[in-house]
Amino acid sequence: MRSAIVLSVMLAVVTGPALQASAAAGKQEAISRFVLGNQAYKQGNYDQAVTEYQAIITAGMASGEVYYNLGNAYFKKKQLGLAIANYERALQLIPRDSDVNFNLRHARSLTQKRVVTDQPNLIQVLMDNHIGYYTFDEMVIILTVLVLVLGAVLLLGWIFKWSRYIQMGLRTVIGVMIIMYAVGLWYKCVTQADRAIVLRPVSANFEPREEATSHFDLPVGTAVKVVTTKDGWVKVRRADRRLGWIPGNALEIL
Amino acid sequence: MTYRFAPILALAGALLGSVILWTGPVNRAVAKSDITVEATVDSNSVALGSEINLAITFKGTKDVTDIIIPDIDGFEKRYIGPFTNISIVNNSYTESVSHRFKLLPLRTGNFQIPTFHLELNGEQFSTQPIAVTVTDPAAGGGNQQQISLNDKIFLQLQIENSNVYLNEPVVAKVFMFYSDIKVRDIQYPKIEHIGFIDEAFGQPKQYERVIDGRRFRIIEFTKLIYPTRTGELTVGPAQLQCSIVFRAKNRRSRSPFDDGFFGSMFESYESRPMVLTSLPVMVTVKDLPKEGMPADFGGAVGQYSFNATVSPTEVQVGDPITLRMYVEGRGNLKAINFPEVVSEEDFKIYDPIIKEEGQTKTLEQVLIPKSTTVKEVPKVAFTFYNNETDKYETVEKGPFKLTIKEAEQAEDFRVVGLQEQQPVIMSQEKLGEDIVFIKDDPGRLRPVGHRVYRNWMYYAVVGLFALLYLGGYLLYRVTHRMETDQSFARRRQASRIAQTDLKVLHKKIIEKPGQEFYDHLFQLFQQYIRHKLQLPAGKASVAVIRAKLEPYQVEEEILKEIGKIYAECDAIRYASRAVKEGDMQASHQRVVKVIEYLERKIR
Repeated sequence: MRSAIVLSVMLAVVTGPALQASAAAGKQEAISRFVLGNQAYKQGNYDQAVTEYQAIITAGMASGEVYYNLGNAYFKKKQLGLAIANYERALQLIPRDSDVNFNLRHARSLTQKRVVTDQPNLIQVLMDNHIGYYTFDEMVIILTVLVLVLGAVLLLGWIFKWSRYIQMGLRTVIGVMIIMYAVGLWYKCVTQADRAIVLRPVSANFEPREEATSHFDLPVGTAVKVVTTKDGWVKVRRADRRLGWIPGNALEIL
Repeated sequence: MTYRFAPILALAGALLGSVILWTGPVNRAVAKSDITVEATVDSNSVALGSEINLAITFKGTKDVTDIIIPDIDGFEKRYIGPFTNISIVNNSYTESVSHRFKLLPLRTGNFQIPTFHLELNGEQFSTQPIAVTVTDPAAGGGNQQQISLNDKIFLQLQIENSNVYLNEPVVAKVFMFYSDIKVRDIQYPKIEHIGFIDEAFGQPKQYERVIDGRRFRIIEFTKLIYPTRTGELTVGPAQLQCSIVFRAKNRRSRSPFDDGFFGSMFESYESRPMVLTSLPVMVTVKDLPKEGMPADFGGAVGQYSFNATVSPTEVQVGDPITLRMYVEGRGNLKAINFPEVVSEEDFKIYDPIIKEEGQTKTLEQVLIPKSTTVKEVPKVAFTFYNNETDKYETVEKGPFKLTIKEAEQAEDFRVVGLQEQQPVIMSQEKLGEDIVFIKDDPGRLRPVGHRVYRNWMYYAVVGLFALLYLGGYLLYRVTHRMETDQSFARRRQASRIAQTDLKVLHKKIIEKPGQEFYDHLFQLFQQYIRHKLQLPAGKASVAVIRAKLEPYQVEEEILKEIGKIYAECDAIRYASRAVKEGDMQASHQRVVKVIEYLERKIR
């Protein structure tokens, strides 16, 4: 057992710097591709820009800015569905960036207006605003810190014999915040999972085949939930909870 | 707990066992050759506009997930799905799966659902053909000519004039006919018209008409279209989406509610979406005649009235005048260009505001006279081609007399127009729309799918804090108990004193031999015992100690050792017994042994 631990530590010591160097090289490669992509974009060569930005993501690196620029390049190529998909991805990493929000709104305004959405109630609006302000990691960190702070407050209250009212007040405030962020995190997981964007106008059928009866139409840029897949077809759920089958190549899973 | 559920578990086990025993041998009895396939319909006679159910049933297996059958002449098929059935009768196990289709008849007559050749596990199966008669419910029981669904519901596109001029308004009408059939969810039709621009459909009209002895319900949609290029152009086909409604087949059998009053009361309806398509219509579009075409002709075709006004007509130099022109009538307003009437020598000219409301197009133009020499706004003329009279017509208005005065001195500082009745007409600023430019900074590049909770550092930090809190909590518990639990505090004190003082005393074996050592040893031991057993001062006799230790089941040897410690100390302290070499070491060891034992035993 002891020798296994020693071996692990030695391996970590030996391979750690190598891994770090590899990560740094990957980052450097991503930065140079990002610069090349930007140059191509500025020269109006949007195909080349897409190739460069996409290469960064294929190599396993990403940032909100990379997705944003990729979305811009697709927008200039008149591929609104892919532009919206990449703006959505950028928004997950840099949710408070005004440029991403503006471009996403603008791209959506150019799509067909018949994107069906359920009228959200007040709680949904509040939750959307709440979770839309933070990234997933930020919410995890805030929740963790709040739990640690609650622990510290409990302990310090006992040790230093704080008054009952101060203890109750602090516990209530932190407890409410924990519930708020925990529910927000759960809501984010539920709403962000299996999301996809429709890339071209497509008809959702009752069955996974071309000649099946059409159920409803999905314009470009519609956000849908992927329910299941079968033989190249994807069963999707629209915002109004209607279900239909569309070809797998008609949507981009986020 | 386990015993309470034992009978239930035994019963569940017995049930499961008997089910396995019962069904097991029967299951194994099903062989591949036992599989049969048959096609059935729920009715061999169906009215046009209703549906029948076709079931293709595989008996002896339920492992047929999907089947494909060819199109059936005279019907439109729609797959409903598979339905499995398992039954056990007299120890005989049967299973089957039915793949069901809905068949919508497209015309009346006698039809045959053909033999379907199906393959299952490499074996070929064929179904029997089925005869189905489709009747027209409107014709009663008598024999009638063949009628298709397209005779009961269809779409017709009509163009009022198929020989028109460029930009001439053309009335396009779409008629939806239906008879002896229920229709709902009717959408506005769509007309294909390359080479035309169109307006929106107006409110549709609904009426009935008898055609060839049949009463049809008709919905009429009307819109205007305008040809934008010459030649032979095609309008249509028009397409309209709707759903036809028919009575659903009753699935129940041998029910008292099947027939009569209850049958009609509980009947249900189903709808099927449908797209109706009309035939296209050819339209010949001619260029406008060159003969007699005025030089100022702007392309307006139709019947129009034209008017123009100027106000105010008495102004000072630099004050605005508004010229308004109205064109009203039947035609393509989008193709109308207003005439340019005034020169920039006399007036400062602002961009006009052009509006379209209904069949009226309006132009408002702000003019500012530059000098007092300007006496009038020249006449304005609007020319259009009247497609009814086949002539170019020109309507003239004006000239409009003006009285222009010299501006007063103070007028230099006046904001033009604000003190007049006329509102200042600002040209509306048109803002461009595009996306925000790309970012030059790649931002925080991280591996795709990076999550903070997948990093060991996160768990290390959380674990560190958790350990800190645990330590703090244990410390709090101990200090709190020391403050509130006196017996605990005394026991802790006894232990602490014993640990430290015994070490000190061990050194005294050499430094202070004899009675003084035993004084210290006895004091230490008695103090320890008093704290440990919660005894008041002066009550720590051997008999009391024995009684107190009884509940802890202390070994007899230890009790004897305690008695020996007391006896030795008393003998040396009070009877002045001589201390031999090694006695002090032995007594010290004895005390250490007893304290260590009691520390382990009593916590």
